[in-house]
Amino acid sequence: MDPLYLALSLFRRRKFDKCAEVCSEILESQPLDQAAWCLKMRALTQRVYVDDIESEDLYEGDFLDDNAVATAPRPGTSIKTAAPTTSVRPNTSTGRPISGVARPGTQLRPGSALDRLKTARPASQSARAIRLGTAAMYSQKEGPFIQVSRLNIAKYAKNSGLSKPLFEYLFYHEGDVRNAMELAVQATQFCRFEDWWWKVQLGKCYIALNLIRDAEQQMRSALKQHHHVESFIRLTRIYLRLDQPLSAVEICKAGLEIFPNDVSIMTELARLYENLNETAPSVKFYRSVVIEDAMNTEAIACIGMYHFYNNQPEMALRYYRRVLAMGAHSAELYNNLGLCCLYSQQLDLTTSLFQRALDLAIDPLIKAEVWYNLSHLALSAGDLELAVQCLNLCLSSDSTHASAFNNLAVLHHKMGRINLAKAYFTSAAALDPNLYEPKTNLEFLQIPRRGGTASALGRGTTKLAARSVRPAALAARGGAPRTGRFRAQNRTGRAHSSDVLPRSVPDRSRVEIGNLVEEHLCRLIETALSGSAKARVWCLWVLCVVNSPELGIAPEWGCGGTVFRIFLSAHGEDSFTERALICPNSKELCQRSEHCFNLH
Amino acid sequence: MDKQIRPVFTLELNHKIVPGLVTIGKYDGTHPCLTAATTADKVLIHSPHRKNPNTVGRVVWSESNREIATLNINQTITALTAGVLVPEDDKDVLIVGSETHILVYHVHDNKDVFYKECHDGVKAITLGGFRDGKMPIVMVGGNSSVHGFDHQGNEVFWTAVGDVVTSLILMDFDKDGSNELVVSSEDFKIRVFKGDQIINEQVETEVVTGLAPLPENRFAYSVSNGTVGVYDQDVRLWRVKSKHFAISMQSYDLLGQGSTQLITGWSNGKIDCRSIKTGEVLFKDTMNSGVAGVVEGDYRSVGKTDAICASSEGEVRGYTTTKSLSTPPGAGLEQDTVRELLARKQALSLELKHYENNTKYNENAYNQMDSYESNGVIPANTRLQIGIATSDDKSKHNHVEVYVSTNNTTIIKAVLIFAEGIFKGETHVVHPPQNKLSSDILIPLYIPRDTPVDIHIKALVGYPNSVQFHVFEITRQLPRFSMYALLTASPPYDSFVEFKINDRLQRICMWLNQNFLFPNDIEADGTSLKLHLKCLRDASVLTLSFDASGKTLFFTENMALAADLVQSLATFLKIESLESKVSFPKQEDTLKICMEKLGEIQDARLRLGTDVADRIGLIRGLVIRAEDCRINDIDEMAKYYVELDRVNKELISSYNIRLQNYNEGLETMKNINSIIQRASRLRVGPNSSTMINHCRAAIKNNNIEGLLKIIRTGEL
Repeated sequence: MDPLYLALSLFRRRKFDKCAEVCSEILESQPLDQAAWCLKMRALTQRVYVDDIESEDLYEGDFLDDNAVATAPRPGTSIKTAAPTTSVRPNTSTGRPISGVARPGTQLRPGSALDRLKTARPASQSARAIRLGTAAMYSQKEGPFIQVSRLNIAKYAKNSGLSKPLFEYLFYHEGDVRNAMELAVQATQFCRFEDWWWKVQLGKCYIALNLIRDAEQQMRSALKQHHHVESFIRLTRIYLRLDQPLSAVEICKAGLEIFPNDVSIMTELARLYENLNETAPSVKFYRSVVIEDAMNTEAIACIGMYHFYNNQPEMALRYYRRVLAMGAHSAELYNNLGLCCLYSQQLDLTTSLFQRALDLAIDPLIKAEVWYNLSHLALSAGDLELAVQCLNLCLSSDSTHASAFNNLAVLHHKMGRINLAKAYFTSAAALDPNLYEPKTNLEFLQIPRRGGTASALGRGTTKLAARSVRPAALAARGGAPRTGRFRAQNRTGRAHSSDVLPRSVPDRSRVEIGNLVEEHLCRLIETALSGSAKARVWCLWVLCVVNSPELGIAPEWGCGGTVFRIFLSAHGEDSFTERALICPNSKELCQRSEHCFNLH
Repeated sequence: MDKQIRPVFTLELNHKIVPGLVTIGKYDGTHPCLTAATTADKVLIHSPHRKNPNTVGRVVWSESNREIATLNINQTITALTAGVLVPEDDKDVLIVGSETHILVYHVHDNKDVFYKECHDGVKAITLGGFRDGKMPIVMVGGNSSVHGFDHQGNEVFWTAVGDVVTSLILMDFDKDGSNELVVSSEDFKIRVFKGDQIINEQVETEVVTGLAPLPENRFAYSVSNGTVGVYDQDVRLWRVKSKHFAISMQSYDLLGQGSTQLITGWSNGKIDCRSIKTGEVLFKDTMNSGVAGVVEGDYRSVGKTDAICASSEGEVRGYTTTKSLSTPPGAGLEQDTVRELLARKQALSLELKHYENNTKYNENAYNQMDSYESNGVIPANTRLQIGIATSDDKSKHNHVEVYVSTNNTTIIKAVLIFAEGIFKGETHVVHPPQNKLSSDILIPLYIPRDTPVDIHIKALVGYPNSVQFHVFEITRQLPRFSMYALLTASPPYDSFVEFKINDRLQRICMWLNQNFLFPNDIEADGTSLKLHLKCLRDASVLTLSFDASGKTLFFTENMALAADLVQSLATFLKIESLESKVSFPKQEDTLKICMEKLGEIQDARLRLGTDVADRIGLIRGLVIRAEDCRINDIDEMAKYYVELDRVNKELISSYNIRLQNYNEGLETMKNINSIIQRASRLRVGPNSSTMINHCRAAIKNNNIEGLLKIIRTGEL
């Protein structure tokens, strides 16, 4: 068989190593065979090629550069300052809006950009460039295939057949952005700036060199010549680097006008909205993605998570089961299925699902999260000892789990071990400065009690905030899975109440327990602890009742209930059933309570 | 004045502000925010009306002042303005100019409207309607040109200016209801563009640094020698000079007179309020440091604007319209009039006394000749004669000579010449030593530019031993082209401008006599007229040739001179439109070289830019590795830091190379633009503007041959 034909066939079958070998043989006998040379370049490039759009991090500012214009942008106009959340959806441990899928960018290490650099994995641009560079070393057995320093770039720039493969080889395989760029500059000059492809490549080079503004120019110029989905998405990423998400949204929408219903652009848009903490438009676009591509795991998982945090665990369960049916098989998925079952009261399945999650969890971080969720299961069953044990196991896997420390402290406090609780709260606060619960709890413990007994200290409410999942497809790239977090608060008396009223976010609300209603409340809380979705409703009801004196309404049950119902109708976008249940209230009462909410 | 106006609010920004770079914008559509460039290359936005909570997300507003947010620009800020640009959006956008780029930024939404590279640099920016006035245009003044951009960043206007633009305003200059562009540049000129056409040009004595629009089609200007003045169309209403420089001017009705006054902020911190019509100072205040800017905005949310003054140290004061109650304007006027009349009376009586004295001596004149000297009196018939001529002495004098003499034995002690722009300062004093005093004196004057100059001569006349002297005052105007002397013949040149005019030779002779200094008036005889002139500045030769058929040729190597001559002649003959053929081989060569050089420089710029970026990437990696070594392997750390030091030095040197490249590019660009600008001035009216547009297109396409052809013929 003709060796070149063989090589081509190998290349088509994606057997790049063999293809490269065959090409090397051809080149040994005929060193000037351009076809073989080109094929070898392509084979070597394809072997190390990574989708650099998908693997691009959400960029939050490297140190030594400040591409973003605004240092203190208005909330909602910047990735750094996502609009204050109005849903029950919690943030990740680093304060980023949580997503259904772990992607680069959904997780960031805590602290400033410089702090992150000091830790083991610098998530910086420079690090990525180094990584691309090292990929090249791997394949060099008998010296490099192409001596880049001896390459006559001007010559190859004029050969339109060779220049493009050579560029990709230099850019992806060698990681030599400088020379790749030199080639791109000369090639684009050679074709008199008429080839959009070179402009996109130039933009890529500029991004790698951190010359964002120049990259922007190239991409815009490329888009003027030719509409391409990749150009749109790269331009979007450029605006994210400049921390201008609204410009990025604009670009995506312009792209959608040209490529209606394009999955990549819609996914990009959905992610953007997710990052901006605007769940409703985000889910809208994810739904459109699913209509186009019913197998899109990311979209399905994100919609599932949306339903989960929207108090519809049953719906979430359906989406996650769909992911499962598509063949995903991972600890995160089972974990999420477990949580859904737990909240939709399918308790028989819950433990077995968590069991599977534990079996599949290899990464200690994921294991820790599963144990953490299991502690919730134990709490729902009212088994405090088991909960403590689960939390201890969680901490043995991941000793930096701040939420676990916090919950452990609450449980110990409940059991009367106040000093131990204090110690745990302190470590929780130290581990994650963004977490407010340990701080509030510590503050509370510092306050000298006035004439109250230990029992008057009372109970914390548990706010069950389950966290999302990550399908297996993307699990390989580090970071912890999103799982539930237990938020607890201990407070006493009415004296220090004013500062912690729920600021329109029921999830973050803290409960003030009045001595008067304490008994009733205890019962309700216990119902809540038994772990049904209805109980969550009860729990919120309690919350409203307890807060009602501050809302200016007489502390009576009915009013509190109304307040809560309005809450539901205001926030549960999809909870039409609940709204229907609650509707028969008098209009006047609704207005009154709405007014009260506006006061706060 | 005894009016007391106190600031209605004061506040401290605690940032140092660059003088001149202060503006105000309603970024959310309603609340004005004071915006200024700080000395640390950041833009500061002071928004006291911001309602958002401070603790959202990870945003940390300035620790010291929670009302201040800053924007990173990362380049030296050279211009700053705010205003509505995007159609169907009532929110102001912020326009920031840096040395190489212009950023139009939507502050409220944190997004770019557009970001564009300006090869020509950005020196001044203004925003407003132009031409048809429907869509606002961003006007950007660079080192030698003015660009206009629409809200999408498309270039919709371009013109060459010839020198560095210092200030731009858009205002209705000629009362036709649409805006004209007023440009001041470093060649001391204020030009008014209507569309692409220059409709007015004023020359000041120094670099005009600032312009400000005033109501009723007037505008104020400030000059780098400390002058401030107001133009009403092409008439200068008044001007005043101070030893400080005006930084910012703003029209605001501070005194509640119903019409606005001109508020000027000075470099020494003085703020004064002057009447627009007369320049009379109506109010003064002083800030603790130099004023950085004066703007107008409703800063107290009371529905009425205040004049807001910001100082370079970050102090902000707001003044509002204050009607004075202590002195009714009528009473003040009366007192002033009385005072003025009294002063005049005193001056007149003093003058009368002098005359009486003089008569007394003149009566005795015939018998007491000697006593003149001792009494400081000169004969009544003493006259002062003045002659102005170009010196044609080849060896030493390259000057216009002013000859002053008396008609009798009296001597001239000293001569003071007051004129603008021809000496350093404004006065020139000539006083011969005691032993060389005579009744005549020759004063050489060097006139640097071809502009008409008014000279005011004051001669001190008396006797050698007199203690008192008589002062004679004379005013003369030097014609525009006074530095040219007649020659008998000259070698022919290949550099010329040729055009056709339809006017009689007699009229041309009138123009020649008005604008040149000839010993005798030129008379037209016959069908053609040919004059050979020598420039006294650089001894170059100029030949003017007129034909009865109207064919006119100016031979000179100096393109700017040819342009000046064409413009002067066209103004004199009231020519609306003139097309000419041009041949300046030397300039064409320069242009060709410049264009080629520019291409090279731009290529190099790209490479140098990536060089710097690459090194920064290296540095980033090295810092991380070095810091890692601090924890893991302290011995390796030194190695990395040595490396870091080396790369850093390289970075600095490559930066310097880049800077040099940039400056060269700028210089080349300026040369090109000034040649184009001169070439455009060799034409008059619409021809010149079409030529400029053709040139722009040719430069964009890098079409050197086309550019040369446009310059030669005015057509592509």
